[in-house]
Amino acid sequence: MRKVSLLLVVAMVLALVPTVSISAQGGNTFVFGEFGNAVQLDPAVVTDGISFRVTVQGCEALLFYDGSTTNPVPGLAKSWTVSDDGLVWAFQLEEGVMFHDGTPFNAEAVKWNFDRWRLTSHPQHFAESVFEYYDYMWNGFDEGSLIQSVEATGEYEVTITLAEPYGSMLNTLAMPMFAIASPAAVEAAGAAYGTPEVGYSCTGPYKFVEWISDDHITLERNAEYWGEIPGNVDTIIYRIIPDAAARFAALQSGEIDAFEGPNVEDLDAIDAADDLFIQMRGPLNVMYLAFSYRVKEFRDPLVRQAIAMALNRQEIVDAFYPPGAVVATTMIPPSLWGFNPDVPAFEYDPEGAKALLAEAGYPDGLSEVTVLPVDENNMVIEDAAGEVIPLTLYFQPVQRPYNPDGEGIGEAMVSYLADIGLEAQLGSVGDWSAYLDARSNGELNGLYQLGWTGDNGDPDNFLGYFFGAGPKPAEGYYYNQEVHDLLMQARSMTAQAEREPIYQQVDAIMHDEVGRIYVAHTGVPLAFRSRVSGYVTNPLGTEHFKFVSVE
Amino acid sequence: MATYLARRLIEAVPVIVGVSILVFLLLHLIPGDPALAILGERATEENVAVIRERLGLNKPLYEQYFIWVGNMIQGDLGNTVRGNIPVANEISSRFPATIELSLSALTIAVLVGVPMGILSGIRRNSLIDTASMFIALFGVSIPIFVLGLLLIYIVGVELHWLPFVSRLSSSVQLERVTGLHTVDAIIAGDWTALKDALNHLILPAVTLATVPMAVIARITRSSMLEVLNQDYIRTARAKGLRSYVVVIRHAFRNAMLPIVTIIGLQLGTLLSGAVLTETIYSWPGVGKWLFDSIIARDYPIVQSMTLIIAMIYIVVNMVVDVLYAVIDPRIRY
Amino acid sequence: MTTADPISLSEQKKTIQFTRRELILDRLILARDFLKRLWRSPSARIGGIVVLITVGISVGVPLFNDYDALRDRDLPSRYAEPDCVVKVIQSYINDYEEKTTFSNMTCDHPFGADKNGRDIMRRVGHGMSVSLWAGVVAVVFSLSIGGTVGLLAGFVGGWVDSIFMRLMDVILAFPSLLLAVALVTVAGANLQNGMIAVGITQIPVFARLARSMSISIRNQEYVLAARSIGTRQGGILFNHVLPNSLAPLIVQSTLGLGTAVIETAALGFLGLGQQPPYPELGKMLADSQQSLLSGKWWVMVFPGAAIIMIVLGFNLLGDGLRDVLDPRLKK
Repeated sequence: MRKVSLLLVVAMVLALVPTVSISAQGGNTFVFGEFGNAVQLDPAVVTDGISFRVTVQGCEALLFYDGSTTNPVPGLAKSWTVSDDGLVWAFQLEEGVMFHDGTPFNAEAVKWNFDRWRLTSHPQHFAESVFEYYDYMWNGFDEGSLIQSVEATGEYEVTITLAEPYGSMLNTLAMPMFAIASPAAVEAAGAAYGTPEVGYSCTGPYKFVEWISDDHITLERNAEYWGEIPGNVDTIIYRIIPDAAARFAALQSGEIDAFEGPNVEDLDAIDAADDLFIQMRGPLNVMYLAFSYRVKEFRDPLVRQAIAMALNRQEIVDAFYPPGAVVATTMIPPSLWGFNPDVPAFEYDPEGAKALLAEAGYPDGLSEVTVLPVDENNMVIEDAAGEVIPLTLYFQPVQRPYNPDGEGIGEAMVSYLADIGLEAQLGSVGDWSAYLDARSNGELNGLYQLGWTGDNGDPDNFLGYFFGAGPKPAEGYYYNQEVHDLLMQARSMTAQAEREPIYQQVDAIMHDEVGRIYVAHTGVPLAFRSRVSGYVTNPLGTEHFKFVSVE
Repeated sequence: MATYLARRLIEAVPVIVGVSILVFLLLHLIPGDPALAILGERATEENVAVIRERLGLNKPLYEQYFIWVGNMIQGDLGNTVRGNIPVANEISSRFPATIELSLSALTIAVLVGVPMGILSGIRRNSLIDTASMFIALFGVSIPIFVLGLLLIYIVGVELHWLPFVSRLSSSVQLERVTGLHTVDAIIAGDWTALKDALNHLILPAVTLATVPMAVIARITRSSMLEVLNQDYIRTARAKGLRSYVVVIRHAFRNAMLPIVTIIGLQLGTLLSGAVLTETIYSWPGVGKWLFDSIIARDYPIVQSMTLIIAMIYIVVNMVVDVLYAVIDPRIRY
Repeated sequence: MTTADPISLSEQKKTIQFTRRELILDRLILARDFLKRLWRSPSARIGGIVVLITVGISVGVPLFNDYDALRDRDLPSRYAEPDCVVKVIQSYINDYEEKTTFSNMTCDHPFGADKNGRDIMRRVGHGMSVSLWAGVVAVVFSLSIGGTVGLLAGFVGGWVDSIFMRLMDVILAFPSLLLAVALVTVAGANLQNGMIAVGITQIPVFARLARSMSISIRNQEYVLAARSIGTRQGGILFNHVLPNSLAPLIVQSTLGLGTAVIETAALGFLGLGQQPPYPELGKMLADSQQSLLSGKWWVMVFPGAAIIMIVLGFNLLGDGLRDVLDPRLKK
């Protein structure tokens, strides 16, 4: 009998064991502490920063971002020309480049990749995957897309034809999701391409080795890499350690060499330690508190201004954000062109805020608000009766680069509001996806936290994405015809000098009407062991470990 | 015996069906859309529609249930919502971590709990008895997350004695054979790796072992007391048999039935505890993963995992019954 | 006396006609004897005292200390260290140059402050009250439903018994915490749903206990006798089965309270219980994780100690009660 139960256990264990082999590793190893499991290693179909931090080491796009800037520079494309009308782009490709699976990189491969992304009928445009970033950056698929055709006009020349001029074309092509994969590898693996068993096969400096879910991902140096690898790292290991405090402990003990986003509390200790140091990634983000314009009371600018004056944003930034973070006055961060330095900040003034509330007709404050209905165009119907609900401030349930502690900041915010007589509930709606769900359905009827990190270093990516279309549930039904027209105008222009004043004007308008309350722009700290050198931060977060050296 | 086991297996069917229906209903009642779990800040309506189609969420609920059951029976556990990765692969890469943690915890619990209980039982009302019963009481009274945090702070942060993050140091390379790092290290004959794996295992295993250890110690003690009061023990003593012979040969053997039962019942405790332990110690097992999957509404993962857990539970309970017969030959089925 | 009398332990007593005064006196004597026996058990004695303190804090703090969690904020005092007695002890243990003594200590934050600069002592006090309340509600819920189901199933038997007990098997086949997590995710994460979810996961424990009591009592001679003289089923259930099952159920409730407090705190720890900014011990412990490794132990230690105190108290009391109330379980 004992044997039977023992056999059972052994059988169970064996049944569960996959056959995974590890290739030998040697030389210099760089271990990066990651805060979660990657979703998938096919950059075309994912949106999460963890996956991109892996794929960007191995999968290269036609253009790169230059060092720590957001300027596009030659990548797999060594040069390009554009027609006068801005519609036809010809890219000359690097020659003699090989994919990790040994097949050659050429114009046909580039065309194949673009076709895979943009054509829903393409056999590798897998039905079970969502090519979300393509959809979003190039305005949809097939005929609807900005890209009308991609042709191999030579062994090493690709020509892309657009439907209309696109101001941020080059910045967008450099995004990590538009990296060129080996057509042979994707065809061979099918929908399993990018999963832990298969990984990726591209042209970059590091090849995929293995991925044990929730434990680690290993990459190794590509000996046949076509370009230069300035650093000396042979093996990259991403160790998955979800808790920021635990990552810090792992850094102290030497278990990992680097990680992103230490807790603000730990920064001093890292600074003080001899063998650790901090490097800040430049800020290209904004955290804000949005109004739902379905809330009748919030349609009064006096109430919105009262709320803006009630929050002591400097105190919040000092307490919760890493050093160097600043109180935000506009949507566009100061580091991006289009920023308007002349927009003043709302000063913290609870007495003034109370007076404004009284002027607006709420001398005793508010604890309940009226939610108005919307019509089929998402326009709020102002003279309808509406529904009375408790005043609520929704907080982000997860840590984001722009929001280190949504809950703590939310708790502080409701207490500031309570000081001027606005008794708000602190609202939570499940996890991150449930929160986003509620937001895109326009269910966050009150005040809600959110933020944005730039995708490609273009101001349209900040203002145009949010306020360019008509009133959207996801943006709290905000609508201002003037803002909308200005943004549409700026999008179709290509000269930066002409576009810049428009974005500045939009931010000024939105400040005057208190369209939204901006809280902070912040850099993102990265912590390292002192054996690491050469790490190049980039505000977009696409950072190449090929620059890294270890002792 | 065989007929008995067959009957037990048949009886388990309605429970498994009940579990599967309950899990299925619960998951589909969770508000929110799993499609958005994939799409994030940049979701559009068309994308959501594609994902819903892929997950078969547009079909009626009962149809979804039967499709799922059909696939399960054919051994197809489906793909994860996030990442579209086969669930079976994900389970097999994570399960060894939880098995290693749970088995180590159970081993610690038995190795500490049983002797503690026996000693307490023999030396009733002595200092040893009071001390071990207080430890046992403390063990059931301290929540896992409090003990885990305390151990991390004292042993890990202040004293720097043991690591408390993940399963193995980055510098240690180990070929994956069983996925149990300790076993793999022994197979490879790599003693540095074994030491490293054990070091990483100690804090989580001790944390997870506390509750079962305490429960086992208490049950062992009371079971021993009961047996020691029986006539045949008195007879044995009266016949002049030496004390430890009496205790080991007669008393403990007969006291084992309830102990074995309670060890079997600790399985649920271990799995609940694994959720918290794995969270606290960044342990890459199925417990934390299952919790995250519930929150993220990753249906295929949660459905498969709960069914597997329910089956393990049923199998373990049957194994316990079989052990009964081994321990006590008088029991016949 | 036709209604149920929980103290009547034997059929014989029921035949004696009490006057009202005698009845009260009788009960008082029983209660006194019971407390006397209870006091003799050391675990019940210590447990009782701890429980009294816990209940005192849990009732007293909200009664005498108004706490407006909504307005509580002092960001400049973020992570202020504990002062007062703790500081005095610290300065002696670590042998500081400038000693803090009882005469020169300050008592702004005896347990320190958290990430929003809120006083931890105050929040632990109010948090204990919440945790205890949550435990009580969960146990009352599972006792009333599990107890009823178990008693009925055992008493009626047959297919009712089979169905109910299979249902309990289904619940038991889930690890309890995961089931609670799933239930709360469905119903929405808040304290009320957390208490009920924990209550549901504990139902089988009470149901199985009540069922076994009910089956064993059903076959006792005095019940068979009552049945033979034509007492109705309902009468037997209320006059015999229920009163005689009470003792073990009370013991289990006391012990179950500890479990329920831990489980609701675990839900809070996982972010599925009490929602911010209101204090709850499990939630406070979860929040302490981010600052623990940078040495802010006070954010974790005090809420942790509070949970241990509650659970330890009830477990000790439960052990003692079992020894006194339920000699059958005493080995």
